[in-house]
Amino acid sequence: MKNALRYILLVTLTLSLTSAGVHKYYVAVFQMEHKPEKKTIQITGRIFIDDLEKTLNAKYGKTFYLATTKELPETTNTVKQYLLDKITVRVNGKSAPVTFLAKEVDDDILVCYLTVPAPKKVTSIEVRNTVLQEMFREQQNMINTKVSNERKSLLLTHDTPSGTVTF
Amino acid sequence: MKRVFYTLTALAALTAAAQEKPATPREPGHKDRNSFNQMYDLLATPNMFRTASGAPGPAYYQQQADYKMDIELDDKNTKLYGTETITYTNNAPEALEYLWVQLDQNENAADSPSKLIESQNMDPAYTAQGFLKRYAEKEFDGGFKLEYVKDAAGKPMKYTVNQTMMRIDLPTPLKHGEKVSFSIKWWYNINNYQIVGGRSGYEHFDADNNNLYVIAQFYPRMAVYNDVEGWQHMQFWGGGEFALTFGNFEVNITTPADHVLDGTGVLQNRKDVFTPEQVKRWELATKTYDKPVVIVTQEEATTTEKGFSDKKKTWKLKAENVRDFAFSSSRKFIYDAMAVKLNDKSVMAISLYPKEANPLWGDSSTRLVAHTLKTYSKYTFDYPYPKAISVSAADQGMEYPMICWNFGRPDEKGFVSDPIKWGNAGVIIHEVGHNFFPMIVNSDERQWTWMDEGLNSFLEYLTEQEWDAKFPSRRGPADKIVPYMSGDQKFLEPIMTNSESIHQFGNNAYAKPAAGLNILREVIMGHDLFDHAFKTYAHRWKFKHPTPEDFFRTMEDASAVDLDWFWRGWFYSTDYVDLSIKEVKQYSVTDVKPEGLKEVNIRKGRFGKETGPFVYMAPDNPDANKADKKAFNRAEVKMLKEYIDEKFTAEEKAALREPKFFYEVTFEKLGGLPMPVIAQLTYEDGTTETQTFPVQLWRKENTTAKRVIATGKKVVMIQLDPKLLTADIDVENNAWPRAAGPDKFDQLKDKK
Repeated sequence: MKNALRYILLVTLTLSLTSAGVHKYYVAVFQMEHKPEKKTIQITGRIFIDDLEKTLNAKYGKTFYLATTKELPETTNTVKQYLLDKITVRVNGKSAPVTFLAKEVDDDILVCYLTVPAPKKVTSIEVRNTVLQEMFREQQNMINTKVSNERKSLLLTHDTPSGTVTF
Repeated sequence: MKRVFYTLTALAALTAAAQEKPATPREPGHKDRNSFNQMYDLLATPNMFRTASGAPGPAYYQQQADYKMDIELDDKNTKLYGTETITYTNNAPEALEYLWVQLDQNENAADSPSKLIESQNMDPAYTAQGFLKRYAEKEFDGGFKLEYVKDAAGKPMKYTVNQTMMRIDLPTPLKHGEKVSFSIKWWYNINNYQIVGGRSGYEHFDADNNNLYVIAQFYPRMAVYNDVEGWQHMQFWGGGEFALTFGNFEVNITTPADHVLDGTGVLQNRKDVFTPEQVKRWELATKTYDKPVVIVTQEEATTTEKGFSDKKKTWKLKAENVRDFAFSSSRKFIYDAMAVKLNDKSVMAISLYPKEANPLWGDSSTRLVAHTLKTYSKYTFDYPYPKAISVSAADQGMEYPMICWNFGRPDEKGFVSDPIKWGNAGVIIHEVGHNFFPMIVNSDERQWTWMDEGLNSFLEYLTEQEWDAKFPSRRGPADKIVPYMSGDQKFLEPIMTNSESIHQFGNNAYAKPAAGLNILREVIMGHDLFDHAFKTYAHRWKFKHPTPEDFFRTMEDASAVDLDWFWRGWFYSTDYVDLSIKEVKQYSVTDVKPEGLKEVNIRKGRFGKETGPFVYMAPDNPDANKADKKAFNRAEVKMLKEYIDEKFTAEEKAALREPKFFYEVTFEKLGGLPMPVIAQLTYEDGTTETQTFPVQLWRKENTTAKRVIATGKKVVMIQLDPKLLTADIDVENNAWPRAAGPDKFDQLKDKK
């Protein structure tokens, strides 16, 4: 346990202090599109698999072998729990429960499909998204929303983990 | 006359008032705002140092800094000691009163201001260790401890340290062509980079109590002086990397006797530092081109890591015409190497890694180094240095001449997942690739990160795809940059932004320029013109200091493709591409004059006017049943048929094209960045044809453009940019008719 904690601390510090000149960068993209006829907002999240594996590994203390032939059977459920824990959405000022539909692999990215209920007219979306930020301090989560034909986006960081777009 | 004017004006004013029509102010004039405007407003005026063609000019010069260093690595106390003699040659036409030397290690100094420039929030929770580290423990005592700066005669010189820069005052100005020698003695505490951070330092292995050192930016280094910046002594805040002078190095490094070390340059005393058996294996490696030869085996390394020798040995390295020097040392190293054949010479590909990196490194690292050297050489110039080393270092990805540190090891159970495998291959290609940009094509990283990271990420992409066509490249393809470019403008800066001011470093300085070069290569210039121009830039500026302008100008100069609009949009702005198909109208050919067509104006000669008869292009009623739409048959239009029969021979008739369907397509430019229009037509029978219209379609700053297309088969769909080559940020408006694809979410729900 002590070692695990130490490891987490080390990794977190490393990645926060190692400057950005290194090869890796930490960005996840969440596309949120309002579908008035379906009364939902569809969320498509694109997260780097290696970063998510490291994060889940540290949080749950085991290797999930995410997106490999050895992937543990409970992985989808863990990813679901993790995302529901890290993403909260309010639509028109009211809390909207997030539903996890599925995950898929696209090269080195895990594509996650989520939805939240939304009325026919959406005037504001508030998102809190701290995915991977406990592991990688410079993790940036881009939220690109589309309501009617209007597009607005947010860049959520460790220091600004939530934001609101209005339409 | 004047009075009449006043009266008229008054009358006009009265009339206007009576009608209560708001007076629309006359629109003001404006400066040139055309995207295709040549870049006189942005580029520096060419001169004798740098020409308008993008090549070094007749008066181009660069400084020279030669180093002789004696270094000692104290493994027990994790300290590094050094004395160095720098011989600096002033090739500038002007004299220099002082010299600036970079002290990059001072970024780790306890009082370094670079720790104070990040905005912070209170963290809601800490581990005990985290809390103590943050609030209670003493800061790591990093940074250079300077013992002296002396001139060639051994007399102390006056120097002033300002953060990461040191000014050495010269007793007499150093004139053009003159040399000055001086010595610096220093030491510093080596940082554990997993705790303190940094691009170099050591990694500690708890299990066997060994350190793996990756040592760089470890000695006071000459700043660049040139015709563009004067002294490049912008402080090292941690983001913008290095601007360095070329020179020759002779370096002696003393380590514990059981360490294995390699670094920049050619090892001068292999027989003193390796066993005779290992020397034999090395000699075999220099003749082995098909696979790596293991020179220090895993068994040897595993034995060595258990002993901690009190004896020392010294490694002697010599490097010519390099901009920097770095090395790596550990008891844990396995060492393998193979020879790489380039056009008229062979160079060595080498890897150093601890047993924890196997299986993975032994299989692929050195092969990746060899593949990278070959592929980059093909697109630029033959790799001019004698070797390239890949070192396994946790969490690092950092480059120096002939040597780089790369992350990626199997997990604790020895399992190599695909993400680990690809991540490791990608970082090795990337960091070895940096030998070309910026180690040899020596751009200024302190100012322009994209000049090496962007160009390197582009070649990394090509090299990855040539390594394995299934390589999941993160950067390079145009469509991968769309999420970034469609993001909130608040967090976007042009690529031409200083390294320290960028919000999303990886996207701005790596991925966007790489995607831009791919767009040039795939869409705007084509492979032949692009590859020749890119190669020309690499050749012109190898072992020199190019600026962004030298790159922009050379790419045009060698290709005759006007790219000012592209540099303006892609590099100097945050504009994005969004083209759409606004409307498609179909037409029928008839000799019956359509209702509503008043007059036909077709010129005859210079002053005359055609009187007919005419064929008419009648717009189809969009409501008409499309199935009834008949293909045009010229035999059915009497007037055309008669004309052809009368004027054309049978042979000529046979040569005529037979268009059957006629369309007028309206394209719309919704984004600020123009782009060629790539339109893929899908016909009724499922076949496709692609028509491409040059970017000059938008040259009048128009936001819509129409094209008339006549086809032999009925068009059922038009798709813009079907292969996603242009980074169009909204592809939903790219199709006619607007195709609503199956909803992924509905499918997933149904599955449930």
